Amino acid sequence: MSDVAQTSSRKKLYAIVAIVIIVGASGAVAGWWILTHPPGPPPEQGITLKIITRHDTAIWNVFRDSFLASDLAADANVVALDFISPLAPQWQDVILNPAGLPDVAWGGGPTLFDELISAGLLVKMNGTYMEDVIARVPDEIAGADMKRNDTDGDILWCAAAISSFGFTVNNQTWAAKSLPWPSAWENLTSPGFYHPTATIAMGNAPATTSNTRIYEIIAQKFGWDLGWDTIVRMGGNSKIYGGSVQTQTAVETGEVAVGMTIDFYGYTSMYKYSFCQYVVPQNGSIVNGDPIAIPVTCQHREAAEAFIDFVLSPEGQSQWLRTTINRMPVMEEAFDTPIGETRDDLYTFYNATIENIGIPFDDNLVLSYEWSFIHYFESVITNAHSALRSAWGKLVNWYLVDPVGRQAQFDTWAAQLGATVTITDPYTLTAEKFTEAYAQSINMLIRGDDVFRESIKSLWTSAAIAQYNTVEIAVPG
Amino acid sequence: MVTIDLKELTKRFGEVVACDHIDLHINDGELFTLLGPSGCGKTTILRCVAGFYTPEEGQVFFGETDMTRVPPNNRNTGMVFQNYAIWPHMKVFDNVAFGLKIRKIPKDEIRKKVLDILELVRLGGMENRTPFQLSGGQQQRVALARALVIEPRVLLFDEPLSNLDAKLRVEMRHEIKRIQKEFGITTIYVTHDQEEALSISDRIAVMELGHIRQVDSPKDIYEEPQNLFVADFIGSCTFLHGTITSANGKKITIETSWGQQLHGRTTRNDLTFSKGEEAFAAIRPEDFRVREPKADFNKLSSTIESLVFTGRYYQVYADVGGTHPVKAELAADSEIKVKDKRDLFISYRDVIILKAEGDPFADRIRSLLEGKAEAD
Amino acid sequence: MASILSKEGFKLRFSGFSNRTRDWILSGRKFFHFEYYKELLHQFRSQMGVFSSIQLAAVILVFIFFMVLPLLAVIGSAFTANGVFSLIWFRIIFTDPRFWPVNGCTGVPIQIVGDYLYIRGVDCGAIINSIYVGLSTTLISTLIGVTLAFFMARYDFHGKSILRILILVPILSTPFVSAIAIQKIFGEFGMLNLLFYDILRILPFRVIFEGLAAVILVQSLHFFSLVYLSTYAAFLAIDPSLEEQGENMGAKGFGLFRKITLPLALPGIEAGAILTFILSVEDLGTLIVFESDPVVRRTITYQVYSLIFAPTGAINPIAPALSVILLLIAMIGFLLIRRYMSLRHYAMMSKGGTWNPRLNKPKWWQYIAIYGFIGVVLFFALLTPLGILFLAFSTEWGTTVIPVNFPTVINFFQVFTDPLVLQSIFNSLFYSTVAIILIVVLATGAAYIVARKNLPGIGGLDLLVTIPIALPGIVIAMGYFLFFVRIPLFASSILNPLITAMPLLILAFTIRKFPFTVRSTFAGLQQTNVEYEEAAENLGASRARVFAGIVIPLVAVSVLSGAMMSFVYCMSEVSVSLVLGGVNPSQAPLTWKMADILYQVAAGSHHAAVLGLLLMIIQIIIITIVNVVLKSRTESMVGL
Repeated sequence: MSDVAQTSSRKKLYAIVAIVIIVGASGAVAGWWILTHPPGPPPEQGITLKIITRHDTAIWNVFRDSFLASDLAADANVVALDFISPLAPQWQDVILNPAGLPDVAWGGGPTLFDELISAGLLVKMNGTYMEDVIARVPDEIAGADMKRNDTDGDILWCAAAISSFGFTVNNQTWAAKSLPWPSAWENLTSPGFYHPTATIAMGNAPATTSNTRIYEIIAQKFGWDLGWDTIVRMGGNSKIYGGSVQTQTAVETGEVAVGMTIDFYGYTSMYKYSFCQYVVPQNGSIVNGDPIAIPVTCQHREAAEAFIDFVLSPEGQSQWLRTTINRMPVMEEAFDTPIGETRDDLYTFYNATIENIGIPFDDNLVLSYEWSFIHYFESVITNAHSALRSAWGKLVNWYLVDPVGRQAQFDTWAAQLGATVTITDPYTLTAEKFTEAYAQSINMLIRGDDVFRESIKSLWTSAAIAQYNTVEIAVPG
Repeated sequence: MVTIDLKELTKRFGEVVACDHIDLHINDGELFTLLGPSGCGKTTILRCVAGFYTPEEGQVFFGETDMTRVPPNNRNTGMVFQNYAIWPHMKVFDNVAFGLKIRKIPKDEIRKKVLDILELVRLGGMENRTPFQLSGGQQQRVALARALVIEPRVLLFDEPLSNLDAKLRVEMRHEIKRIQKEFGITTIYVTHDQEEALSISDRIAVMELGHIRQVDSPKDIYEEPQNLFVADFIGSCTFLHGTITSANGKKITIETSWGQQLHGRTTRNDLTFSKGEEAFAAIRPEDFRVREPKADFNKLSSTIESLVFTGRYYQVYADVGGTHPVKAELAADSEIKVKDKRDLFISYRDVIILKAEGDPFADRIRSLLEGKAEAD
Repeated sequence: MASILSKEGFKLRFSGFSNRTRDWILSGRKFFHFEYYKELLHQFRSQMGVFSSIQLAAVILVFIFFMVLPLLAVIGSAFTANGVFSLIWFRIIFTDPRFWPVNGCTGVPIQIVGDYLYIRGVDCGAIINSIYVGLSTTLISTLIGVTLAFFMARYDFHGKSILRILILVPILSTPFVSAIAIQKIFGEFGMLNLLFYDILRILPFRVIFEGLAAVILVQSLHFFSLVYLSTYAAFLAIDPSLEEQGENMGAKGFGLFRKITLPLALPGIEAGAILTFILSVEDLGTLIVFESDPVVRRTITYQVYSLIFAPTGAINPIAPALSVILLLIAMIGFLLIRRYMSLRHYAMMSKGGTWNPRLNKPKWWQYIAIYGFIGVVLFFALLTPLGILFLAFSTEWGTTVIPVNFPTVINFFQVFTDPLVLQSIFNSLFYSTVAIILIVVLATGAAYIVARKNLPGIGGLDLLVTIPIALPGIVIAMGYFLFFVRIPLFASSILNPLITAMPLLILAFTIRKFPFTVRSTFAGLQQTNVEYEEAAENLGASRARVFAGIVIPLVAVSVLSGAMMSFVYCMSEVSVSLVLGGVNPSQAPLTWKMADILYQVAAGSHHAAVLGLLLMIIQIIIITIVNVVLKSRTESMVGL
């Protein structure tokens, strides 16, 4: 190392180091002060309500400002709202931790809240006050439950907003690839959607409860076997992503032409980008309620009830309609408020959603096979995706040469492709096809027994790959 | 000012024994040199005295005190490194003042001492320079000043002059000797350069492969080598191989395989020489004569193989029989040519007879003479 | 010395490989002998004073509490099934075609279909995939990095000072938004295809980079800067007289480069290469960018991220088992390089003069080659930051080369009116600053002990402080969560992230980005002669004084540059920020906020890009400061 240069830059070095230290030190002091003096009134003057949530910070800010300005907050002596948003698997640890102990649980989807129920972490939302508040919310919308009861008939969670699912289309990519128009879920199975760079974005089941709901509803709409056939064919046309935000982004960047998306992502894309369009599927409304509930660790019951009262009031519900949020309320009365009157566009969508004949959907049935369903999906679609795409692609290309003449053979092969697989159960060692009954029988094993789950998933994947390969080999060309 | 004693000092690095059961006594105020080829262990010993190595066995004493386990910063020794180790991020003044600052000497006293010592090493006025503005010799003097200014009990030099050019080396070694004598600090000096060792040392220890081969004054090291290694390493001896034909007190005669008789002497008091034993005659090239001298001289008939005129003398390789030519330095006015047949004369006093038995270096000399090893 | 590029050189380096490996494995027997520990104690006492022992203890304690124990909280489950010790997870992994090519490798690397050209790469199961992606990235990054370093170190041409900074821009990692930017640039209807296929019609195909080929491309364009840095340092540190000697003997041009320059720079090259390999194998960000491709999902790190949570919310043991395999791969790579690389002590000491770096003025054809090469590399490497720039300054980007309403600053106003944004920026700066102070204090000690002390087992310390970059972020993040949230001992302490996430975030940053500073300080120490310290000790300085007064000033340059790298990476840390940020949002770092904005309905990618741009600007400022200070001395940034 040349020491001349070292000496000549040594002075500069010391100067810079001195500056950095001074800046860093003053920054540290400033920082410490800021962090120990958060904005807002000192907590001793009133109640700080702690809320655990999966909603994003924009929603926090809007509801915080509007609630704290309301009479409900003043009457209940709530002066501040403290939001925490851990990842879904962290919720139980955070709720029970001595430094956690939230008063309200809000947003995160029915699956997460049903898990909290099984863990015994939610309390009844009973008492005349709560019951009156909850009565404002319809019991079901488009066939989906908006409330969850326990065995005594008491409410454990109530939906505070709804979301539905549809397609977001990127018009530019769609036009560039000359694809059919997605007007219903079944359309996505069409060979016309096949392209070597796939055209549809699907979410991997374990990573997104919303997309999972879509698949579950398809399975219920078409029946188990045909439902899986549909899902497999869709998978053949698709790219798989790790979450609902990712599927949305894929559409926005033009990576795919069509994405299975949540409504509020969809029409926000539509408003942000001129080339995006949200489509409500015909006769295919799938509605989800996004819950609010009271955890067993609630320290300020009255304050919690006041907040829930606000959220389930017309004024509270109208907050969803702000342009920075764009979500569907669970109460139609939201549209009668000052904010609501400015959002006719959302009102149109709202009506389309609830009037669309919903697919009859049995929540309890889904709960009985949920885990098997999710992990079977991952095994035969996500983890066998290369083989699936390859086989489906070959089949489709062969078919499109002579669609009329080859229809029958295509149907046969496609059915083969989409059939549920048979494997040897790792515990009972008997051959088992993945029927609804079997799925139900192994549901809790999949959930709780890691060894069983990983073993059977491995078997499913291998069986699926073999199945896809068989079809691929059979197709000439 | 202190005496240094090494007792059974042994330092190992894994399987290698760098110095092997070394016993040495160094007198107060003496300039004691450790001389030897690389790998002989001299630097290892120095570093044990400095405290950078802890020996596996043995002890280091300063006077009566056992210093073996004392950390290097508590030994009050001053070391001058081969590469000077002048800190590039400090000026000359700060380099020299470093040791004084640690000893918490008051600032004005430090200033005086530093400037004085810089004058002493003839670097007056350079205290504000940075090390890059100094030449090699100047850096070396800074290193010397730095070690001296703390008034250590012991001065340690690790080949301090090896990076300087020849002329500077000579000049610097006289400086070092002068200063050392003036301060009277006990000094251990490590070098592989014999001329340096011979010119400044009070006593020299010649080392090889972790062992001390001989400890003596420079004159005795040169004129009275006690074994083959020392004879070979110091100066440049030429060797003749033979068997002992007679041994009378200190006078020994050997006969080579081709019948050449050589009368010489032994430098050892402790060995017995018997007839028939294998021995070597060690002769310094400059001791050969071409003109017939007085009595007590051996005569060797030779054929001149090669001849180089160096200005001061002829460097000659001559075949006297045997497999290996002898090396001789003959007077510049000798009239000789290559292929001449000339007699070479060497006085009895100048032939040192060294026994082969018990001498670890014997194999090497034997191989050398048979042409297997390279000449030094 | 035979050149590494020659067959003899290659054989020489790896001859005895198997013998040495066998010896090394057998030497493990020593752990079972009492004498080993006696010897260890003797060595320890003779070499470590109080000061060094304190340094060592501090490093080990921090690493035990904030890396080893949290890690064990997660990894422990990889070795148990139903409560007992079991290796079943590894059996499952090695019999599943997802992870191991039980049925062989599949896939066609390059394919032309119609007017599409697909460049993909093959699929051999997650484990092999990760390894070959790592190796390919390392190879390409090394080729690019070494060439660049050679140009910059040996030739003098215009524009070098700007180039010095530009070359480092690819290192900046911008989570989340880079994915979108890459899609807009390299995608099917992205900037490049639009430009070269649709509009200019230069290419006959629409080029689709997919699968692992795409990952390798993007990673190489990101990591070549690392190899460049350490190689550049190595080239500069070569004593010019060695090259002059070679020239004197007749070697010139490429021959000189191959026989003299390259072998002497090898330690620097290998240092950059091993860092690239480990970072590439552990990298999750790039995999998420291309996660829609099934082969990309078949990589160890992606599978860990995807499989980490079981349905119950507990840790799914297969993920830690995969992490163990990943760790082993990284460790083996690291140890191989350390053991078989000729770790020469390149301790150069000035002998009273400077040496002039050998800079040549290039000939005209060399000018073309240099500018051409650099131009092409930088063009591709800077596209992603450019894409982020476009996103930040526009509100919509359809299938046009440049977004339609570029430039507009409306995003900036919208983003910065959220107080949590400013808070999170400040948080990141604060955590990163405190973290590098901690890093510098601990890493200099650790590097010093490893470089100077010859204790048996010192390699273990070296491994310990380097391994954090080989740990998948999500694993260490979940480790922190499980360890400090669940264990009642910490529930009311400041280490409970629910009370305050600050200490844990700072410590997580410290641990995760520790290796950059350690490695560069270590390289600096290797290049500094130990005699400087001995001289000070000899004159009476205590070890602490030697460390502070002599060692630190001499390696300050290396420490500073390593610390700056650590800082840059701290600012863009993702995994722990996400896991702990949600638990205490007002203390969450910038990256958490970026993810939050991406999820926000009305915000989205363009707003997140604003933060991404801000992050990049902060990082560039830091790097520029370093460059100004160090001038041509950025060599010491990375080293092994």
